[in-house]
Amino acid sequence: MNKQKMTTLCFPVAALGLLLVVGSATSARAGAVDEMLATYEAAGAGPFDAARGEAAWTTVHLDAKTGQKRDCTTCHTPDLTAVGKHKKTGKRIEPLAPSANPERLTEVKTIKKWFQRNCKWTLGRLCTPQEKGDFLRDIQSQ
Amino acid sequence: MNNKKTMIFGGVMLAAILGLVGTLAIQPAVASDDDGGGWFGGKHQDKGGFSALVAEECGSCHVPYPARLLPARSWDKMMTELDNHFGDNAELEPDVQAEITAYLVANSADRSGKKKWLRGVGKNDTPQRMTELSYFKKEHREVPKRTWGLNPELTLSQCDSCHTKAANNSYRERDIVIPGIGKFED
Repeated sequence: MNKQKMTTLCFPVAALGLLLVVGSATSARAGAVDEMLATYEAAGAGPFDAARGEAAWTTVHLDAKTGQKRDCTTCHTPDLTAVGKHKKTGKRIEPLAPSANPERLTEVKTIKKWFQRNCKWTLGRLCTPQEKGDFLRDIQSQ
Repeated sequence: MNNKKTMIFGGVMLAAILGLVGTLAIQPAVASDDDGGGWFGGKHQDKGGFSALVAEECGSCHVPYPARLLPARSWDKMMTELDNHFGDNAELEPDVQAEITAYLVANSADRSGKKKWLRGVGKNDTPQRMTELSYFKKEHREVPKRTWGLNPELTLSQCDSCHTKAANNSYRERDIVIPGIGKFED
């Protein structure tokens, strides 16, 4: 087999493999986000709006116990494609934007877990289905 | 085909195959919830000296601290107060919480034979902060004072800043590198 023939054969095979990986992360994401949004809609929320999610992202809340000012950027930074840092432990937080981190929004379980923890820490309460849907739309678009 | 071409061809094929396998692996990874394995099987599949579950769940916010530093009763207490975990909310799904508690208890100071960590700890005390244990303090007394000036953001709870193999649950002296200072000399 000459080099040219080999290149023409190998490239599509490799490209197919790569496409499948990227494609499956994308479809897993669409599946997980759609599933969450359907749950929120069933609870009476919607339609969801990325711009509203973005505004809520930087809305500052005062923690009743400590008096600390908290918003999503406290740990995640204002830029969703950037690496964040845990406020207390200093541990690296991988970017939230799927464009920078394809693993994001691919698992329903993970989305639920972090909404529960981080809404409670940041807002001092659970987020409403409407707020969660808006956040998901915003993150998804980044 | 000469050797070079074979290597290129092999590499490209391997990438393609890995891509395919990776794709297929995504689904089972979600579903492989319980196969009833031991601590380092199933959910606790070994991840460099840690249960993979502990590495993932505890390790997403901090170094997954070694279970052997606290007694079982401390872990029991901590794991029932995850809604206020040192000021953070670290709540887990009940099944995950139970799995992790079982791991921490089974590998705790009093169950794993690492009793030196319990020096000075009362029989019914439930210490929560490893950094406040007297044996921990004794072990870290040798950290040069200038470390703190050189690294103003460093705290004793960031094990992996100096213990370069902390992520693998390994804290040997020969693996210590203090930022700005270098290898630890006894």
